[in-house]
Amino acid sequence: MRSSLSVRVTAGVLVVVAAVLIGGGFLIVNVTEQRDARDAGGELQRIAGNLTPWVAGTLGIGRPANTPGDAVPSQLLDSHGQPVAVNTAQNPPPPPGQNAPPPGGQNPPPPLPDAGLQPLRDAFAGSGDTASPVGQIAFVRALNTQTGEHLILGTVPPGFPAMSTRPGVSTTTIAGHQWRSAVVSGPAGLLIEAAAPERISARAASLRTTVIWTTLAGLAVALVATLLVTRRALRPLKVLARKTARISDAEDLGVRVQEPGQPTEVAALAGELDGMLARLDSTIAAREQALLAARRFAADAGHELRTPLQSIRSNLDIARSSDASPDEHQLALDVATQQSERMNRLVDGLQGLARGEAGLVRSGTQVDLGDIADSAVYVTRTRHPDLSIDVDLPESGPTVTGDGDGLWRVIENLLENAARHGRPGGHISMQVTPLNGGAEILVDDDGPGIPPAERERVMRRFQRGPGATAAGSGLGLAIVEAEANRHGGKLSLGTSDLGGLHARVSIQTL
Amino acid sequence: MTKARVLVVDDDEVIVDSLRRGLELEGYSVATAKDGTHALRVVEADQLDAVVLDVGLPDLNGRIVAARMRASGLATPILILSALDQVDDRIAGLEAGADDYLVKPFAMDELTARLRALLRRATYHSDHATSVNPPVRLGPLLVDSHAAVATWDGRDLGLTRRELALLETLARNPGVTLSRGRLLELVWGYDFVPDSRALDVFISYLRRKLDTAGAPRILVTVRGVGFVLRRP
Repeated sequence: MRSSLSVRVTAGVLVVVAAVLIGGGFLIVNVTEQRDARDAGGELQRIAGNLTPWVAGTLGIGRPANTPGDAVPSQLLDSHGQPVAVNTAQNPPPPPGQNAPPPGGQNPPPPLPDAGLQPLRDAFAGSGDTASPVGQIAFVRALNTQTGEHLILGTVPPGFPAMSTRPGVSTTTIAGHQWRSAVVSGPAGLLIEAAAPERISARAASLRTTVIWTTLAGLAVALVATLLVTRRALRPLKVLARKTARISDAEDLGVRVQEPGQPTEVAALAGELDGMLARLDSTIAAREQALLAARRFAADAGHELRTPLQSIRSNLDIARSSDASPDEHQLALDVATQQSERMNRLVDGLQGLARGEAGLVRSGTQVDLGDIADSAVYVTRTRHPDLSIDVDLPESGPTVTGDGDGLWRVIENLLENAARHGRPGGHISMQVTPLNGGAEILVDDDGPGIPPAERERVMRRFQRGPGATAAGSGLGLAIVEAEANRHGGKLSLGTSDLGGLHARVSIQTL
Repeated sequence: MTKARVLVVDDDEVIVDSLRRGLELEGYSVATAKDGTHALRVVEADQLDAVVLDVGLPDLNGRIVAARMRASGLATPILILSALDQVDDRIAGLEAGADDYLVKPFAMDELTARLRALLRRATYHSDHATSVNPPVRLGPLLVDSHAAVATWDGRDLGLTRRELALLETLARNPGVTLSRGRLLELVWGYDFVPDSRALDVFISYLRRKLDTAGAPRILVTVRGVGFVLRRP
């Protein structure tokens, strides 16, 4: 399916924006989570540390062993100001899975009177501040590693693992709730642990929600903005498409679509289109011209053929007539034969010209132009034994790439032209020389030549020189020129040193 | 002497009829065929002395007809008729084993002059080939007209009849430059100069075939004079 460029760009932008927002959000949530976890650990450690002096006092560390307990607070408050259990015993804390000590002792102690317990109160009160990573402390445990004495304040949730003997922060999951606890070491082998339910996940969850909404909002904004921007950026293209469509509707190849103010890319495209239009325009013009030339050619040919045809017809009528004398009879047949010869030459010429005008030789072979000239000279000499033909050829070559038959006709026509239009019994000079990787054919005669004003005209078909007789087809030089053009060369006419016409044909090696 | 029998092959009835009447006036016995298949049938059934073959036949190209005649071992001279623009067909016809070509339209005289010469040559060859023409050897080049084969270093050059005759004539006169007129006379029996490049075309075929067989450039144009086969 074809989708619009703006839709594609928008889709691409949305993917990128979504990736950035989601990735960034994930990163923020993650980093915050880690930082909170670190902060929570630190807070718990701080709380546990604050409790150390009190716990040490309670467990009688640093006092004589025989005066126990007089400073032991008999009651602690939980975060709600309710009394919490205090349990001191010689035994280690109960193994995980076992229930916590029963709330309240057998002898409920009197309320805590003094400010010495403030750290403990603070601990159980928690910060109460939602910004704090730690919720309310659920319990505090302490262990005198030297005596095995231990102390539990608050409520240990069922299944909570036994107290770690190594200081540090740890996380525990009990019944789907995360707990965080910190163990710090006090004086004389004392370990104190503070534990609180995890509050971080909740904070992270809220942060996550924020990130999701931000992402969705960002995507919506990006969608609208990108659509608007691409629409606007692509407007010149749309304008260009409309203009191009108008060209094909109106079939007017003269229109050009590039204009000032187009963005670079569109201007480049418009430039290419303009170039294509120009080429198309000129191709069509050339084709029309060729068609016109072909029509004119056919008309000319028809006209030229009609003349000898008429003559043949008339003479055959005479020959058939019973009134004709034997002499008249013979003359009529002779003229008819002569005229058919003339028609023959015309048709030859027309075909040669048609071949020559068929375009450049595309797949020529390597031919020795000197050998071809040699052969054409031989034929001309045989045809016109009264002429003296002076030939100047290199011992071999020049070799050119081309159509041997066409090149033979070029030289043969040049020589024939010189023989017909030169001085009867006169002199012709022919030279073939290499030239710039191609070759040059020069033919001179000592006839009347062609005045400069006439030269252009005689190269056109059916145009004869001023002194031409009916024998010529009027195509010779036109054929030469057409063949020369086929071989990437041209025919030029001038005045010969011999006094007559100087014809020069250049042949390019293709 | 019995009348020489000539087969005229052309798809145009008017041309066939004109040529038949013209040739009969000149004393030939004429058979006609209107296409290639027909021509090949006549060739098989009839005793022919020469074939006048148009290249532009409706069914089989004249080149194919010539090639099949030669492939069946027929040595009868073949003269190809073509229009001016059928250069490729005409050249392919010569390559396939035809002896010469005429471009339409032509004068009756041109046709009869060629036929006369080709028939004379053919008769001369069949009468004297064995006794008069022993094989010629010039170094690696061997031309055996009796066996109708020419080799370079033992490799067959794959020459057509007329190419073989041309090479043999040149090889019998090694180092001697033969003029175009002399070659036309010796190889084709022509006492006139045809208004065409036929000789040049045959020379270029010979050169190409010698070149393909690995021979050096021994067949040379001597400009203004003719051609010479240098001793290898």
